[in-house]
Amino acid sequence: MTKYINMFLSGAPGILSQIREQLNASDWKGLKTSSHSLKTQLKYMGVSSAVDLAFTIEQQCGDLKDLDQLPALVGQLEEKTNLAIAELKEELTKL
Amino acid sequence: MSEFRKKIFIVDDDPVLAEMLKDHLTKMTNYEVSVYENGEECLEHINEKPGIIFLDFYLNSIKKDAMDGLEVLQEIKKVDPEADVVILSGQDKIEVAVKTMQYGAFDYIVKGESAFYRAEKVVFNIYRFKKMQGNASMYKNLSIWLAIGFGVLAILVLWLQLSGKISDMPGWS
Repeated sequence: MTKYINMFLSGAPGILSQIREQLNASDWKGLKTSSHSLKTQLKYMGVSSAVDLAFTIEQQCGDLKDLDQLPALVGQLEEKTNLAIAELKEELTKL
Repeated sequence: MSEFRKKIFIVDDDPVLAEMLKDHLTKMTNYEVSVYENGEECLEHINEKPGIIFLDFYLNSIKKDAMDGLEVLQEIKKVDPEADVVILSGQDKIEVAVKTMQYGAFDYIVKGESAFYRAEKVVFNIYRFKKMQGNASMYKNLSIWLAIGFGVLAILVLWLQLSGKISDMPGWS
């Protein structure tokens, strides 16, 4: 499990920055793909609240629907993912 | 009869999932498992003759200009039609699954809690299917050789009879 957590910790921050850049650039296709990618990783790490957010972002980008809500959703996704990252880092010290 | 292929390729740009699936399949099967981050890398190693390829539907979340799963699937089927391709996807949509099957995928697995178990089952199903194919091919070859053998024997007996060499043997008239 330690191996998988380490892989998530090294990969997730990069995807989060990518998501922020894509939001700023209104790159909806890229944002859809990145949130899909992060969603899968969050799912295997058991971060279900962030999984739902990533799924909503992916859907809205795919359907080009409610795009004005995306900045708030991405903000929440960053917050929840960063919290999960901090918790997982702490978990690693106990393993 | 084609040779039994002992390699599995996992092609996914999600490193955590790819590593988890690799560990699971290495533990549960006797196949040698390799991981590739994108379709281009997989195609570079296709001459290693993998028996089964687990291929992600989306392959361009990291490398933006990477080929997508369907493009890679078509390319694999072009260069190595015998490799069985299993599509991995986060999308639980029947139309996506049907589309991948139309392009020649063997099966479609939705990423989720039961994905690893499903992947393991697919590996065993493919193994059984290949074994049955091998047996059918072996029985077909055997029956051809038996038919040829009996034919040669019948001609030989007929020739011996006609030449009178076995006419004195008991049971022969």
